Amino acid sequence: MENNIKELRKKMNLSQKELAKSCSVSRQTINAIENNKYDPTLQLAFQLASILETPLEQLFRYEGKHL
Amino acid sequence: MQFFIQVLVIALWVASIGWITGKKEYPVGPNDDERKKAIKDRSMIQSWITLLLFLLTNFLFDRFSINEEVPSLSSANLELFYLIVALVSYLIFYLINSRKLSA
Repeated sequence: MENNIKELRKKMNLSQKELAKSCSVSRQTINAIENNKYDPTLQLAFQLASILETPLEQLFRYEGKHL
Repeated sequence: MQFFIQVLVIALWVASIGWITGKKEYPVGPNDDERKKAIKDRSMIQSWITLLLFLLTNFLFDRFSINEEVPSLSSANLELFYLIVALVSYLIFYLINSRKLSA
């Protein structure tokens, strides 16, 4: 699953640590999500969308096969 | 003595399950963030699969009488052996998964 968290985070002048703190997760979690190594839970995805003031569907995109 | 061992095992179970899963639902243990919980969940599944493979191998060896010449472990040692397999494989997979999802 692709995402544009890194771009939006930089636009808002937030560091990984600051974003992690506002979501109550570790900096490594944010780093893993940004590098597409880890797919967040729906709860964390909504939290990220809320903090980055972006609709969820614009934050994440799935480019795999449609069912 | 048997009663105390059972109480000790239950206490150990309550204490360890929280640490192994990292979930706040359990009375003891850390409240890990979701990445760490995912690492622990994966490690647990991989550890159980490793243990099942050991059991399957042992069963097949016994079924086809392959290990007749190998000195067999007593039942107490066998339980300890599988316990060690489960714990060691959990730690190995925990390290592998942590490295995969590291910064």
